[in-house]
Amino acid sequence: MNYFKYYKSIILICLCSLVMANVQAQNEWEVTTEQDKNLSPFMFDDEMVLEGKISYENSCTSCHGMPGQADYTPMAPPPGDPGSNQFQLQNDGALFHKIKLGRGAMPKFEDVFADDETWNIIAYIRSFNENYKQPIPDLGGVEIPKYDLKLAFDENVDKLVVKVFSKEIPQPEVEVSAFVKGTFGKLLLGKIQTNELGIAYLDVDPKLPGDAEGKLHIMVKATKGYALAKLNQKMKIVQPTIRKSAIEGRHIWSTDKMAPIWLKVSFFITIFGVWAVLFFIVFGFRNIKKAGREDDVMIE
Amino acid sequence: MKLARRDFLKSSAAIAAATAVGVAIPETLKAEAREAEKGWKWDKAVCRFCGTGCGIMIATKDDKILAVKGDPLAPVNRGLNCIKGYFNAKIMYGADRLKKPLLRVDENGNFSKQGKFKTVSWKRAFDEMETRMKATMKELGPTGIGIFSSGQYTIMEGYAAAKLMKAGFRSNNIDPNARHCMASAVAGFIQTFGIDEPAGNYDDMEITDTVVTWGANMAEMHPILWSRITANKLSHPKRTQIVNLTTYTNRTSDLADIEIVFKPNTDLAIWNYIAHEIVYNQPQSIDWEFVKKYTVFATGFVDIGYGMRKPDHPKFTDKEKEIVRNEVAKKLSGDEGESLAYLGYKEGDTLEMTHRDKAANHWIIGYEDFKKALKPYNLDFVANIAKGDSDESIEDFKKKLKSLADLYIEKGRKICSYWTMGFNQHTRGTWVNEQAYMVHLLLGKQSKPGDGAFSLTGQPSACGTAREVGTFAHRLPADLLVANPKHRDFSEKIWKIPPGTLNPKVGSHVMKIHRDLEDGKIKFAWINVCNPYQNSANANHWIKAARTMDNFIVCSDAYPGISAKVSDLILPSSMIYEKWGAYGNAERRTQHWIQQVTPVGDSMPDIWQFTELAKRFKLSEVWGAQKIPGLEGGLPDVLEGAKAMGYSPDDTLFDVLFANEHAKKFAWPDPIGEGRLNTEAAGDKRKVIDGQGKPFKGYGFFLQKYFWEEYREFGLGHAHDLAPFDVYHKCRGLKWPVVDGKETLWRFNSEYDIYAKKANIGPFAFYGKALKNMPQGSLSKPDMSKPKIDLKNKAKIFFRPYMEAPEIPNKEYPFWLCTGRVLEHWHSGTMTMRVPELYRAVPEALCYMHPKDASKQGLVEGDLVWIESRRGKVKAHIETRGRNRVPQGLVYVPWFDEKVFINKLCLDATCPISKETDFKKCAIKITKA
Amino acid sequence: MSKANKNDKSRRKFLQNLGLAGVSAVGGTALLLQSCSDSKDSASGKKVKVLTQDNQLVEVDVANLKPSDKIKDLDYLQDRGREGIPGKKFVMVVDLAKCKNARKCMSACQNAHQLKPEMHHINVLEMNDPVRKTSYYMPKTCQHCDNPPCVSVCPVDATFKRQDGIVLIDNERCIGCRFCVAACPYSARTFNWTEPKDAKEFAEVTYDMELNVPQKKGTVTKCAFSADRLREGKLPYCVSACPNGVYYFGDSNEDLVTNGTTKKTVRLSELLEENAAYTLMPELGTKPSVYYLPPRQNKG
Repeated sequence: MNYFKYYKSIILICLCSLVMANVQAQNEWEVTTEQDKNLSPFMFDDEMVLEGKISYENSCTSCHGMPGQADYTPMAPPPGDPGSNQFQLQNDGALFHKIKLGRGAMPKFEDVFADDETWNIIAYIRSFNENYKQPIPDLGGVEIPKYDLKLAFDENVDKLVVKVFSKEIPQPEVEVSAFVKGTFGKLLLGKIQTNELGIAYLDVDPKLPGDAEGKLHIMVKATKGYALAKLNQKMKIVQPTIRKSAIEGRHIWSTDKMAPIWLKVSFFITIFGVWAVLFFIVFGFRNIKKAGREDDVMIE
Repeated sequence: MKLARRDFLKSSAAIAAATAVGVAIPETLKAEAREAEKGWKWDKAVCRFCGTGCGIMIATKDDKILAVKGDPLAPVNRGLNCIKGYFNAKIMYGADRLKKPLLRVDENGNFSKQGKFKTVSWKRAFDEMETRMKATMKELGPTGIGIFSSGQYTIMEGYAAAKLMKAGFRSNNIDPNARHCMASAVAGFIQTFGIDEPAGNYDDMEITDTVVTWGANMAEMHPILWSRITANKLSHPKRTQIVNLTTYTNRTSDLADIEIVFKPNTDLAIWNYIAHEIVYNQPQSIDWEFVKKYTVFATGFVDIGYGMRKPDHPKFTDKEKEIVRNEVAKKLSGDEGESLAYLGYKEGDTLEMTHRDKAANHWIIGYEDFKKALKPYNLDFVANIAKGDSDESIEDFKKKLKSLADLYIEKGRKICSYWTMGFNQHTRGTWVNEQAYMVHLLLGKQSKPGDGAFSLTGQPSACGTAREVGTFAHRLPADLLVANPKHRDFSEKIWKIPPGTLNPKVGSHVMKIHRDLEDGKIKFAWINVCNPYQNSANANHWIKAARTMDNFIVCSDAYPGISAKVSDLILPSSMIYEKWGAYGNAERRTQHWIQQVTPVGDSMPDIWQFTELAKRFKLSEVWGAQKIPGLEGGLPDVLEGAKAMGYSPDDTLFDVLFANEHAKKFAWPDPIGEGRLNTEAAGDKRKVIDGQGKPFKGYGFFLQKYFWEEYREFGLGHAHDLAPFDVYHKCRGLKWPVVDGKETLWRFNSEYDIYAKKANIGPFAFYGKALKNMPQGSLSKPDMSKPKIDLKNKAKIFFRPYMEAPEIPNKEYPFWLCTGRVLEHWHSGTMTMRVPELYRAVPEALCYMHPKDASKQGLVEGDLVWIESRRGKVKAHIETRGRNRVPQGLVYVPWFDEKVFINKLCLDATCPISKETDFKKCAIKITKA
Repeated sequence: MSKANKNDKSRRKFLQNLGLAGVSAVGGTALLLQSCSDSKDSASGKKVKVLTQDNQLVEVDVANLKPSDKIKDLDYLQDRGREGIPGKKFVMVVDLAKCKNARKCMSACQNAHQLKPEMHHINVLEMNDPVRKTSYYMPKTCQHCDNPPCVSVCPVDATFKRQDGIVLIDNERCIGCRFCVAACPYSARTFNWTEPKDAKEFAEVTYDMELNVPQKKGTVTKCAFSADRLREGKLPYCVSACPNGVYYFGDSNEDLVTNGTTKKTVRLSELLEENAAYTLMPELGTKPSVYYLPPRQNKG
């Protein structure tokens, strides 16, 4: 019977230590040195930041709030503000790993985001850190190639021809994406790898409206590993389109300036006519009256 | 029964047609027909369309054609016509028939390439042609001008064109659209027999026991011949066997006992399999007596390229270069590794195309070498590479191949092989033609009634005009060659022109004329009776060259097709029954007709266009010394020689070539043409204002007869004999050689052919003279140390290996594209699309596709798709259940429709020997539009 | 006769007054035009007479006359607002399948345009089918019609359609007659019956008709496709604020529209054709510039 009392407290102590241990365990992220050293295979650019922003706003704001505004949801442990120093001091690899595996209330995003989508989010988070310099891995002396891009248009098959060279040597297996620049965004024409001759072909719809000279503003990005090159060029590949103003010509719904002439003229003629008739009647009466008075005088 | 007038005419025409084929008609209708036909004049003529050469009867009244029916007396068709044939009259009266010359002018009326077409007078048209031709010849010499000639010219027109171009302008840049059609067959004939054109005739179709069609959809393309074969089959259903070898199931398969669907280009392998069967498994079937006495074995180079330009040519786009690089070197596939193993190659080797300009070279080999080269072509190997239908089991396919070989080998079984474009429009077209003769010669089944390889002709007069008259870049009439000095001498004597006039350097063939226009080497081109901008592969290049470069293109046509639309000057031309003419069909039958009606509008015959143009050129302008690129010394000045012959340097080409003393002897009116129209000779009621600005009243002599009789002189006594002009108007055509008034039925057979009898060496004699002095050699190359062998009266049995097409489907372009025709429309549709009935029957070209291929891409029948190759793209509706049922991985698109301009996609690879384009093989992809 | 004299006298007086009035008007304008700086760094030497606020005629160097920022802005803004952005024709596409009544568009719009919560430039309506008990949410903006009934009825040319297709209101001219509010079949316009929200804070701000701030009591206000943002190449407030990808906005001359949430750009013609887009009340002949994609429940 005495032992029973002790058993209770022993069990209690065990439980408590377990909880403590758990809590301790929960407080620690388990990031190995290798995972910590993991670096993005892509250079962070505006496109990645934008994609990351969209993914972040869809999946992360609910707990972490907007970066830099410290408006994260109060939880235990607190999610933290990704724009804060504490977050930014971590390495890219650590962030990558943590997003993938999650911890406690933070879900595992391994199955939600592909690797490159995860890197997009990290690019976005880093965009709030002005002092951030993306570390480039030591490639063991291998130079990152500098790409030269040449654009042409094959009108027989309506394809944009992108040639990727580096020091006159054609570069195969480079991922080329081409866009048509619009006012608010860019239309993706396609994403394709260059073939063994370093040429990528992308279909262009010849019915795209070009400017007055038939030019389209083409933006091309070529990337492979850490190498990246961009080219913007206006190319004459479609029919010239004449932009008509929305208020061209004369129309009834607009101001007096733009009203159809026949409307104005007939309006004035009617008004003038009506007034003329009225005046005619008034003068007619006056004359009658005058004539009446004269008669009176005459009679006298 | 009272009928309205139009019904009257229709019914009477129908009655006449029905009577011709033996359909019974009630007497009342017959009586009404007789009423309606009062005042009609019936006359015989020839169909405007295919190489079958059916005879038709034409009824005219008041200078208009009222009715057409099959000619019951014509041996070819015996009163039958196909659907196109019945509309031979309607093709002349389409709504947009060209009636006046049209020239592109700017606002000031001066010629401008960017200008719009405006009506001009004939005089202005010839003025412009003269100015441009003279300027071009001054800059580039005679090689700067070119004529796209035709297999649809009348024989006299072709003769006049060839004479004007070769004797007058001294240029060999005249080449017909038959280059796209029969060139491989011609090369096959010349290389094998030394002389052009088939040995047999259409009677074989009734006599034979077996008909094998190789890549020829005879049911749609030679329908009357197919009806003769059908009659044979239905009369002897057990004995007569029909085999259809094709890359897709078509209407010909409906009658066939065996249908073999093979992969494109593997016809080369299948012939070798048959030869392998004969040589290895059934050597007793070889007719050794025949082979030893009348044949030798031969072979040639394999590294001959594909007739394309070199990949560094500046006008190629990057996408095109992916294929064109095969022209200089090709990586051998697994199949080619086996088929070329006899030369020491294997899979993965790079075949350097070192013998591109020696493609036609061949030499004699021994039988042992021939047998050795055939070793790989056993049933397993060939079945594996040739099976075209993925739904068919390999065992079934093997059985079919074996049956085919057995039919050939069977002793006493008469067998005829027929082919048209499937063999000829092929990057190894000459080879596959030679292989057909190889098997027939091995078995001794050639040049006998019911036995023989018969090359069918596509166009109505590719034989009669293009080949026999020689309107080719390398030919003179009657199989003579420009490169042979003896032949030139002979021609110069007949043409009464000074020695040295003719240009010995072979000119540009059709594809080369297009390429020269693109390179600026030709700056003046004249299109006669063809549509080269619609019928030539890789069309984007040629159209761009025509519209954007500095050149002058003249198009003589009856309707505005694509060629007329890209030209700078359009000349309205008279159509077939608006002039005297003659055609030669596929069985060597030459048939003449008389002018039936006055031409429409201001259109004038092509002969008149040549003669009026000839008036603009003086001898001093064309017969002086001329520079010819590639010819050392150029062309000599022959004006002295001309003076010696009595010509003055101020004489025009018209005076010398067309209106000379000899010509004027043929008076008009001539008894044979009593009371008949003849625009060139006597003018006509329209009194068209001619090239001098005066009303045309005729030349006053029988120009067409003069041409015929002068042309005859070339072939008489040289196995190309033709009968006198008048004879043809009294009969339904004669098969040449016509010797002592008798036509020749089976050539090279002493029983039927006088020339073979004259050779007096036995029952056969292959008396063709060309290429009969050949070196000997091994399988891989000739051995010049050994003496050459004289092959008089012998034919050659060629060994040719299997090779792949230069462009085959891959992941990006997964389908084969095969192009062809349909029954209802002729060629580029310029005539048949103007006939409402034919247009309604088939208004557009469809893309025939396998339903599984369609559903894989989410397409259903009737969907509008983009068909895209490396060279261009077009839109078409797909058809998954039509008359052509294609296997998976292949699509078929006919080319008659301007709106589905499929030649933008085709590859301009040619057979390097014949220079004929392969329209049947390139790689495409399909996407939803 | 004396009458005539009297008339003469009064005429002269009148003319004098007129003259004075004219001069003072000129003077007043000149005053307003100057920021009254007799700075020493003037140079031109050319002098001009101006009237000060206390009726003194003074001579000032021309170089010292500087246009006041305040008023120049108004004229400049007025001209700019009337002219519009050349070469563009703005359209909006609303994907009803995606709207979940988040109303972020409404709050962003009201924030930007100084609107009280009951005043709507954009309104999200619940469209009910009472028989089948289904409903969907439909955001409704001004449709910027190509045949606008509101423009025809305005008696003072305060509302107008400009060359880029946007229908704007110039509250400097609006007299508050509310004909346009009655004319609009889409109920897109509202009227400021009372002092606008935060009126005091915005009192000093120069009126920009593209932003329509500051609001004025007694004038009409409506959606302007955020014309001020368009000038900077940015998407309108509502389009950017939506979290669910409902809005596409772009230039129909370029045939490209950009989605506000994903920022993806697509072909306008393809988007409309493939989704069976429709406009509201087309039978009225107003030709709206806002297209709606049907509220499909499943994404086929």
